[in-house]
Amino acid sequence: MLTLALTMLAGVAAGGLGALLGIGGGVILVPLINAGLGRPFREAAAVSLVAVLAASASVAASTETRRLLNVRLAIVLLIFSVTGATFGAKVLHLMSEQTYERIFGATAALIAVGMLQRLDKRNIRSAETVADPGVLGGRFYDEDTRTEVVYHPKRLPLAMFSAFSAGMLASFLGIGGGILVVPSLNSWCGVPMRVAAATSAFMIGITAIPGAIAHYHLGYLGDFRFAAAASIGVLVGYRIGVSLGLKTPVRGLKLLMAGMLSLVAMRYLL
Amino acid sequence: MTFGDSNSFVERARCWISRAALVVATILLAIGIGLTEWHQSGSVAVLETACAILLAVPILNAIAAVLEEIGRRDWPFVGAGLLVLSLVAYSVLEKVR
Repeated sequence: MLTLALTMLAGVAAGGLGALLGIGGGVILVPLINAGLGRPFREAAAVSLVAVLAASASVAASTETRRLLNVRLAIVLLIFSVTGATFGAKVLHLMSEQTYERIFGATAALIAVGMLQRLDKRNIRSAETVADPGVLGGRFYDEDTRTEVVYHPKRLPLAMFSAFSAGMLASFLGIGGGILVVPSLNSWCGVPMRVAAATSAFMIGITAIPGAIAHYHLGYLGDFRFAAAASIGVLVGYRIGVSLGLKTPVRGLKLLMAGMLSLVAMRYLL
Repeated sequence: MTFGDSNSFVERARCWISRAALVVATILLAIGIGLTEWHQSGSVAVLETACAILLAVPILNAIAAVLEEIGRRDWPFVGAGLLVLSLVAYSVLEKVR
């Protein structure tokens, strides 16, 4: 019962941070369940994918981030993330737990460095200077600058590549893939952080499906109670995170993300 | 282009169904944990149903996005959305078979 309660608390933490950062929270939940509660990495990954689905369902039911979501960009990137996830699900059983742990650590370290390098980059221009955001761009009211801003995604092939990688890692590591998609959209493609987070939140649930089905099919999910407890925790945490999200400064979000990723990387690489 | 552009029927229906699904899934998850703790039969079936509902919500979102694009007659994005749904269907059906 205590382990279940701790799993639920891990879910609350993952859901809260996930909502703030536009990720499913898997990158937080997997180490908490694996290293913190001593469950095998594969079971932690399987539990996390169910929790990512819960986080995604929670986002779908809320209206707070809908105005920031770029649905066309999400649809285009989903082609690549779901393809990557389907491929990852097919080869899931071929590598050892240690290999997945190393991949997890290396991925977290790389993204943390990328986030810190572009801490003060805003990627938005005022609406007066840019009239047309293009087919995949958009405009929104920015809470930080209190103006309507316009963005136009650049380097789309890079975003497509990162979406494919995110999908593959989602199936391998039990994450929704937002941890890759958000920084790459923001740092490489010029999509504002909040838009990247909302777009990623739309994508993670669909990207998680092939991996979740594969983990269940291979019997990695183990005890269903952990998945249920983590999911309930994530649902509660996500509501808390979403209510705080629009009031949290972008720089703070980036620092929080980088710090969290550094800790995860150290755990799995050192 | 965002979902929030219009208060369309599709968007309202999507939001309403997502909320209902979330409530039902949460209740089933809690019931499932309770049944498992008290060693009652049927707990796995309840938890599997909850997981299936959670799995269906993002698919519903994707379908809603495609319907919105159909409404805008933006056929390249309708095609892209249908491709995503086909890939998801393939990954699910391949394991279920």
